[in-house]
Amino acid sequence: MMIFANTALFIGFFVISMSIKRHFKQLFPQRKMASLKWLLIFRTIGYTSLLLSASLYITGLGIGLGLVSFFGLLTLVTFMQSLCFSYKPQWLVPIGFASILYLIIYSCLNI
Amino acid sequence: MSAAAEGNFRHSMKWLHTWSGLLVGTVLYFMFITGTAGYFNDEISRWMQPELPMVNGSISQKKLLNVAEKRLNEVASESSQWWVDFPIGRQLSLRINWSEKTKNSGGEEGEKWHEEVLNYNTGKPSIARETGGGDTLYYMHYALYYIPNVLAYWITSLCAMFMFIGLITGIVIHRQIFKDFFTFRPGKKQHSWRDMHNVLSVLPLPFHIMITYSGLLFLMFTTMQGVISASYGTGQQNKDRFYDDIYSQGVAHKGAAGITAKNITLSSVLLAVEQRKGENKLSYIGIENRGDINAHIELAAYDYDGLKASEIQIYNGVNGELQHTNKGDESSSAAMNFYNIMTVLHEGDFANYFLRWLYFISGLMGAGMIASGMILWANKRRERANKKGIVSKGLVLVERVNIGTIVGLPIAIAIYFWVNRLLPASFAGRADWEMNGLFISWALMLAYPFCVAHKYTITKIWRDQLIIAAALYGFLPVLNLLTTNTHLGNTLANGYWALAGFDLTMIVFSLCFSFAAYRLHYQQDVTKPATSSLQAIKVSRVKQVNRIIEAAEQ
Repeated sequence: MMIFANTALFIGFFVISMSIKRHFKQLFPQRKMASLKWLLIFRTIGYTSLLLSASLYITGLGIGLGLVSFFGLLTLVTFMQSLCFSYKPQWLVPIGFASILYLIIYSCLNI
Repeated sequence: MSAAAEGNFRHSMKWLHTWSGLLVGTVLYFMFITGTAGYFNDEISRWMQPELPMVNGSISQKKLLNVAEKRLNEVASESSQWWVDFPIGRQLSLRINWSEKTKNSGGEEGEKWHEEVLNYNTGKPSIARETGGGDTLYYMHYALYYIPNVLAYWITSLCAMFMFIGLITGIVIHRQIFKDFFTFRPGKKQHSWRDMHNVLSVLPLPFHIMITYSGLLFLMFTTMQGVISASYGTGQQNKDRFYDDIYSQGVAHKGAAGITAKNITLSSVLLAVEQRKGENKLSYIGIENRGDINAHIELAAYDYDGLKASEIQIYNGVNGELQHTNKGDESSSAAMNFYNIMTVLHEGDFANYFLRWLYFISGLMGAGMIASGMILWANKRRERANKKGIVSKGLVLVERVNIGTIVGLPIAIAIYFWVNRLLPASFAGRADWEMNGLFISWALMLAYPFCVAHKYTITKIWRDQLIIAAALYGFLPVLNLLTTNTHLGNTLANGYWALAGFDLTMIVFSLCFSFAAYRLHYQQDVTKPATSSLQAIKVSRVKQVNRIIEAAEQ
């Protein structure tokens, strides 16, 4: 379950970064800028994914340890993502979509 | 709020943010670096005592307790208290403690404590070199060094308060906190430093707020004495009453009755506990009032239930019955529970190795936040000064202190480890001299920029210190190989990760310093040798005066 929570955390920030114009351009330099509606959808999906991740941490580890682990890993994930945006933004798209695919397959197998 | 008022407010907050950070930046950086090292205090201490036996965690606690009880019977048969710490989790040695009754010259009775680390194969004590270890580094982050504790608590509390102000004002002045969340633009001079400061501040913000606020709470019994006096009155007796109230855990430990009785062995209690809880789970076991009818045996498992430490169990020392189970906070007030949670979060005792590394990384990011803030302040003013041709003494001072602090302190900590290996193991007062080595080398690193500023640029001085740091950290595992058996070849082969982890971390630090020095090698120097900067002040002031005179004449 923790791998699922970590993946949801990464996807959450990946999709939130897609909702920021500057990072959208970095991620998809060939594409036309997404409309405001799509940016809002990305943001909603991102925050939902983060909430899902936090709730999985709390369910798995309890409220205290769950929150500490969630925020600890959040720092690491966002830092790595920030370094990727600075030096290798092209890496983020395949990793992000592979994570989404993993999340879908994992959910289907466990429902 | 009108736009103008909001602008003024943000401007005031920016001023507060800048100066609250700059004024205490050096002390805060010291607190963050030493405190972060403290998350691995046991591992550092273990590395600094290479003579101790390497204990494999899978050894039976029954066997270890037999060894410990045998040794205690030899050296402390008359003692009223025995304690045994098992090697488990981050506890890396089999350790015994016992008390000895003493009388001072006035006839007053007291207790003297003894401690030994045992070699579990021979049952004999391991003689290890005296060292400050990781505990002294950890202790220094709030008690500093060379100065009285109370004064140190006031200084560190004040700095933590400035840090807290810096955090709050930082959030207020950062207009686009979410837009800039992932933004780091390398190679853009001033923008890059600002981005780095933002990234290192915003990403671990929950950690920064928690660690600063809980740090303030930790020392509130020193800084908030007035509140205690208001409720309990002044004087030591009233203070003691306050501490008794808040720290009483609902367990009334009976004192010795003075009636001799035969006690059960610690091993028999361990056996009973292992049957219920499983083998090799205990953190420690001990007996109080030994040989008395009121003897009791206390033990706790090495386990955490979330953030809470495992319950402490107390058994009757005569018949082995379970007398009490102490769950810690069951009788505490809500305020005390909050205090306990905050202090537990600060110390991270509950953290497994993965979480401990996350703490460590967040701590380093905190140090990086402070360092980048200090550099940002200096670079901003340097850019302005270069344009105007006027360099203030304050800027020159901050630039030089920044180098001596940001790279100088890590160099001093590396020297602390080097001194541990280079001083003879039997050297008298070696723990003190390890620490003296740290502070002497730090003083030298602080002095170095001032001494060479007349011929080198600031960038060159940064590079010099980074190269020194890289060399000291990089060669530390080599020094370890040359002076001890606990080198990487041995520790990696036997899976002693606590020791191997130390050497590997030193190599990573060395690579980071080397990379920084390499990058600086290609960076354009923005400063001229500093004395010419000071001369520039004089020349530009003369120019200014001339301009004013010319303007007045016209």
